[in-house]
This record gives sequence, C-alpha cells and structure tokens, in this order.
Amino acid sequence: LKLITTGRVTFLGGFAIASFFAWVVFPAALYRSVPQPMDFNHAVHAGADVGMGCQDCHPFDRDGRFGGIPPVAQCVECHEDMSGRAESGTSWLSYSRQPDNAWFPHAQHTVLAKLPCERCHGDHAKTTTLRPVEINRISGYGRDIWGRDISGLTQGPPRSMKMTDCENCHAERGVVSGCQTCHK
Amino acid sequence: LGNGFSFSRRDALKFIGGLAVGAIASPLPWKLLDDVSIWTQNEGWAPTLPRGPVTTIRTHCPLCPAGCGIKVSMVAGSPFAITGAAGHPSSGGKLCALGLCGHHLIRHPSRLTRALLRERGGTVERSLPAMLGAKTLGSWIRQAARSGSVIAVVDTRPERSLSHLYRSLLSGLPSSSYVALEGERIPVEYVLERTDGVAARAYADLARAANIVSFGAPLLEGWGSVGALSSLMTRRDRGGPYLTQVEPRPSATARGADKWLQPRPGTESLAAMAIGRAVLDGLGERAGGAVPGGDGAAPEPGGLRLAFADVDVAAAAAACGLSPDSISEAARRFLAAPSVAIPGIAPGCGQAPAGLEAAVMALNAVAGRIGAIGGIGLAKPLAPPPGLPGSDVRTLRRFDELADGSVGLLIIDDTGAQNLPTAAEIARKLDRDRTARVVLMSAFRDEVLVPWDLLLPVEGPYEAVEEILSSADSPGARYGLSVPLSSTAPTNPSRAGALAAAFSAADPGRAFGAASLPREVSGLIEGRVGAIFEAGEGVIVKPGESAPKAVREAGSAKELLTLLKDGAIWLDDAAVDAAEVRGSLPAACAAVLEKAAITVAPPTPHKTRGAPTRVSLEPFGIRALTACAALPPAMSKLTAESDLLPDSRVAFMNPETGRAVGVGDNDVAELVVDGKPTNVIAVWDAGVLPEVVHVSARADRRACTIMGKGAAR
Repeated sequence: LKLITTGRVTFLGGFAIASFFAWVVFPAALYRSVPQPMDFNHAVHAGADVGMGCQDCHPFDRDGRFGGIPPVAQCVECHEDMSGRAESGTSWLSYSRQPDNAWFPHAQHTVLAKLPCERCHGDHAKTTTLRPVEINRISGYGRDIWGRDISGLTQGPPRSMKMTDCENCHAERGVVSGCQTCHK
Repeated sequence: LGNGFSFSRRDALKFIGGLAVGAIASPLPWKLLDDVSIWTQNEGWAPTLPRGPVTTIRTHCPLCPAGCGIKVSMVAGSPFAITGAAGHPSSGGKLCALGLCGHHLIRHPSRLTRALLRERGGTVERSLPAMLGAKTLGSWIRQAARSGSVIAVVDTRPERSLSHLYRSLLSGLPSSSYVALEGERIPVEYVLERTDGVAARAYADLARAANIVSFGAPLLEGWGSVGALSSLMTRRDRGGPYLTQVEPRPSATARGADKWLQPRPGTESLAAMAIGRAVLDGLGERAGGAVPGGDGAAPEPGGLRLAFADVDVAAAAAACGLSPDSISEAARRFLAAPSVAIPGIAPGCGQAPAGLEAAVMALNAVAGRIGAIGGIGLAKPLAPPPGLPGSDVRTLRRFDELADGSVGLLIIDDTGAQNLPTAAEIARKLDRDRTARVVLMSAFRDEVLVPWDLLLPVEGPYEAVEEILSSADSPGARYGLSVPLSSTAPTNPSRAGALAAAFSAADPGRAFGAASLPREVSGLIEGRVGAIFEAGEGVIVKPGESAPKAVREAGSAKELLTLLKDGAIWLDDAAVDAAEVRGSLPAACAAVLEKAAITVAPPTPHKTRGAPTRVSLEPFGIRALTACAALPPAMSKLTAESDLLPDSRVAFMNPETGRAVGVGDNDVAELVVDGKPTNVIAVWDAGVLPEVVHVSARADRRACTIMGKGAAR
C-alpha cells in the first residue's frame, strides 16, 4: 500500500483519462459516419447464382483506366424496375478515394502485376450490405485509407492504404519507384 | 487509505503530467498532425483538379531539342500528369525530371500576359497590351533600319518553319542578321567542304561508339535525347562504352566518367589538338594500318598535318595541366576502337573556349571518324517549308560572329532557352552610341538571363503546335509535332504573329515585303508535312501502337498531319553517302584553329584581399535546371531534396571578377550563401560571366558574398 500514494494515483488517473480519450473518444469523434445512398448486396451479385466478377461492374476502359463505381444506368441493364432511379443518378461514396496528388493506375497493378482487387479493397464480394463510409472530419478522406486501427501499427492492405503501404508493397516486390512515380 | 491522500498542488501537476504522458503515448497528436497537414493541402486555397473523365493525349515534349515522346493525362481539358510514351523511337519511354513537370509551366507564376517596356537605362517598367508591344517593336525596327545599324534575330531553336519565316522577314531589311544558335549540335561546317548548311546534318553516333571522348558535353546529365542517355547508361552498366570526359569542372559527367581529364579552364581546345596530334603520330607509326571503323573517309594528310604541325604533345599537355601520358592514353584508345569525340558545354557553364568545335572536329577527322560507324554520322537534313520566298539574310551560327558594338536592335526568341547568349555577350554586341535595344520574346518573365528593353509575351510550351526536329544524337532525319494541351492557358500572340505584326507596323510602305508573308506557321507546317508525304521517304512510327510503316501508307498529306498531331513521328535514317564527304580538315576549320590561336597565358599572380564582396551565384552541372528560363517549382524542390547535385568545393569565376573581389586563381575563398559559409577553391575561367561565381550548389540563382582567404597551396 505504500506504493499507492496520492501523487501516483493522480498521475495514473491523468494517464488513464488521456488514454481513454485518445484511444476511444477521439477516434469515435474524428470520423463521421455517412450511409451509402442505396444498399447493395455484393455477395448476391458475385455469388455462384449470378457469378459476376469485379470487372463486370468496375471495368477498365480501353486505355486501361479504372472505370470507378458504376452509375445506376448500368444496373438498369439487368434491373429494369430501377429505370426511374437511373435518370436521377446515385452519388455513391468512395471508401478509398486517394488524394489528387496521388496517381494510382489500376491497370498496372491488376493486369501487369496481377494483384487481386481484394489485396487493397478487402473481400467486398462477400458482403451482403454496404457499410457506411466513415469520413475523417479534418482531412476529408475515408477511414479505409488510414485503417480502423487508430495506432496505425497493425495495418497494411487491405486494412489501410497509406503511402507507407504502397512503399512497403513496392519494396517487397522489388519495384523501383521514385517520388514522381505516384506524384505527378 | 489514511491521511496520506491529501491532494496538493504538486499532485495536480502530476495529474496534468499523467494527462500529457497519456496523450503523447497515444496516436492522438500524431494522427492530428497527419490529418491537419492533409487538411492544409486540400482546403480552398490549394488548387484542386476538376472531377471528370480522364483522357490521354500522345504528343512530344517541346522543352528541349530532344523532343521526347510523351503521354499526357488530362481531366476536364487540363493536363495533370505527363509520362514517357513507351516505345518511342528516340526517347524509349524515358523522360527527364523537367519533362515530367512540363505541364506545370502552363500555370507558372511568372507567366506573362502583357508586354513590359523599360525606359532606356532605367528600371521602371510599363505594362502594355501584347499587340501594342509589337507595334513598339515595329517603331524600333523602323528607327534601326533608318539609322543603318544591325537588326539581328536570335533563334535559339533553328530549322523550324518559324525559323525560316524569321529569315524571310529579315530578308528585305538592310543590315540584318539571322543568328541560329543550337546548344547541342555537331558542327557540320567543320567536317564538310560543302558548308551551305543544307547538304548534310552531322550527328554523334553514340549508340554504336565503343569509346567516347567528351569535351565538356554533359553526357551523363542529359546531352542529346533522354532515350540516348538512358541507353548510354544501360550500356555503361554492362561494361561499355568507355567514356573520357575532358572538363575543368567537377560535373556529374566528369565524376561518372571512366576517365576524367581535368584541364585548366580555357585549355580544352588545346587538349583536343594534343590528342589529335597523338592520334596522327599513332597513325604514322601504324603505316599502312587500317583506320578504325573501316568505312570512314580516309584523312587527307596535307591539311591535317598542317593543322597539327605546331602542336607539341608534351608542351600542350603541360599548358593544359595534364600529363603527357594521359593524352597518349586517350589517343591510343581513340585508335583502338570505334570512337567519337564531341564538343559541348553544359548550360550555365559559361562560354566554350575559342576553337573548341573546330579542334574536336579536327580530332575526329584525323582519326577517320567522319562518316564512320560509331563516329560522326551524316544524315540528310530536313527541307525548308515550301512556299516561303528565298532569303538573302546574313546567317550566323555563333553569337560572337556579330561584330562588337554593331547591333542596334536585338530580337531574341527564347524557345531554346539553354542556348541564350549571356548578358555580357549581349552587352558587347550592342551599339550603345545609338539607341540599341534588346527585345525578348518569351512566355515567362526572366530576371536573370537577358537584359531586355521590351519583353514581348508570346505563347509558351504546350500552347501551340511546335515542330520536333532532329537532335544532336538523332541518327537520320526526324519530324514530329507537339500540340497544345490546355484550352485554359493564357492567350498570347504566337511568335510568328507578334513578329509579323511588328514588321508590318515598321513597314507601312511595304518596302520590306513583310506584309506578303504568312502571320502564322500552321500553313508552313502543313506544307512541310505535305512535302514529306510527296517525297515518300522514311517511315512513320506511332509509339506503342504499331510497327513502323511507310509514309505513303498514311494515305494523304492531311492524314499524315493528323497522325503527327496524334503523337506519331516521321523518321528517315538514310545517310549521306560517305564518299561525298571529304575527310580532310576543311579550310573553315583550319581558319578557325588559326584564328583561335590556341595558346595559354599563365595566370597573373594576385594578392588576396580579405573582405566579403557581393557576387551572384549560378548553378552548373544540371542541364535541366539551367535549360529553361522558368522552372516548375516542383522541379526546384525535387532537385534540392535529391542527390542530383555534385559537391560545391570548387568555384569558377572570371579573372576580372577574381581581381575585383581579391580572390586569386587557385586560392581558397569563403563563400557565404544564406549566412552559411563554405570554403571553396577558386578557379579563374574566362568563360564565366563577370560578377558571377559558378558553384554546383543549388537549383536557383541567388546572391552571396565571397572573401579570399589566401593561396590553397
């Protein structure tokens, strides 16, 4: 009991309060949760019954660019009952939007390097619903970029998509890259 | 727990300490730091790209004569990224750092939109609309023509259709001169008897040379095309070719060469003559032996022996500060394998020593390297655009061919900014007794290179269709186009339009004939492409898409123009028949060598004075940094943070500067930049501008002080 002095208790109390705030309250407050405008069941579409692949809805253009998130007009090709919504359009939210100064060619990674989409985006194909997009109130980027682990210690694709993750992956594969490889 | 738990002020401090330690030990401050830094990048004050479909344009980089193939990514009509075009025959998909940032120039902070006029001798500037600036130039042309002083147009990227238009504009003017300056070129006039400038185009066949002797050419820093540089470095990684760099400065090329011969500044021409003499002696010893390369023209003994007769290898080596053995070794290597010698000086390194080009070409000629594989190749030149009247204007290939004090009006096109004459050179040529003026046609405000009286705003890079012609290392003829990238760029008059308007304003009576000439080059370019199609020679290559195909397969001249605007390039590697070339040293070369009087005076002893004196610091050694009047800010940052810069232990200065600031040749001097002192060895070099110190230190020009500290030895 002699070890438990007022000074030590107050120090530890302060430490505990700060830790609780930093590890629990701060991450919860930092991100705001925004639901997607419409729910979507990836598992049904990519499952055995339908059998669609990632590129059926997220295709590459003729010049190798990634087509992004498909408009509802593309859904109408199979779902005629959605034609009314196709006209109004749907503003999907991106989980993994990168900064403008980062240049990421999907074609080079998925076609040339043969990386599976799941390597960076996780296994979306097995999800039955679209989780809300958590947007950083300060930086404006999705939580998928930094990752769910606020410490940043147990991350790496598909848990996070920071520049260090790109660098680590390039280093693992012996891909030589300088600043201007990604930052044009 | 008893009475021991009273809460004192000390406990409160410990509580705060616990809070602080808990916060620091958590990710909170680091995450906040990360997010806030991203926020500063993305807030309203930071420019952001518009959202929209991404498109790709294939074209050529117009920033230097290398003309690399590029792929430009565009969003909503604005370029946001440039990468090399894979499979391009001259650049091979490679691109330099400046080229990668080229699209930034469209929004450069020093971009001009209005003309700037300086009153004579003053520093006050007046801003005018661009076309009013052209009319002002017109009145100056009229004044200069009436007074009989020389009107000279300096073209820093010759052989374009625009260049031919300049010559036609000047044709009707009395006392006019057209000065065609090419920084990187193999001077054909020293290797051919036919010196009319259109008989052949000489190039350095670096791709097939096994031994290269470079006299100051920044080979490993970007001489010639980036593709050739990349190929050269790849070949050197595999053991060849052997590179000897003859250069006083500790440039990146000198440090990276297999052998660095460091002559005293100004003695490079003498070093070339000494190697040439050793080569001639070696050929004599081999009586009857074959000349390396085999297919080169045999040297004509009379002219060469005369040129080298007075050169004593040992004496020349001593004057250069080199050992005779190093000269003999270079000559032995030159004879042992297919070799080529190239003259050059990196932008920012002052002026080439007198007679350097002639001496280096004499070295090539004496070794039979003219027209030989891996030597100096000779290609057919590109014909001028049809439709322009012939010009009788006096054409000069070097700025110093203009008579000192003779020029009344100097008009400079800065397209090839790396070839601009220096401020000191310009001052020497101007006729200050009359109202001599300098007009700079540029897209950017330039504070350092050219002392202008009128700055005429014209289109910048990627804002007009520009021609891509052969570079110093292109085997054969080449023709491509660079197209405008952004519809949002500021609109300035074209160079042709600005100058044509000025000449028309100067010539209300149409005495010069300028009114009948075209005001834009688009028609001339179409005519040139049409002539290429009609001739039917060469092939068209569309990088990354198809194999080379014959020109006629384009179908029509119009289709060929469309292909060229879509990133294709025309190539014709047909060589000029070597039998037509006389491998002797032509009279022009001999005359230059005689005039240059390649001798070296010993440096004047000078007493060092220990007082800091203000001078200007100029970087050297990185071609891209000094090749463009306006550098993209990202380029400066990249260079400052990279290991591109060699060390800064040697400072080069003009002897006049050394005497003025009290720093002798080979003295130690203290150079203070931004308050940080550095000890340097001062080297006197007549090629450096007065009041300038060349140190490989930073990307930007800036002021510094220098103070002598005594002799180094």
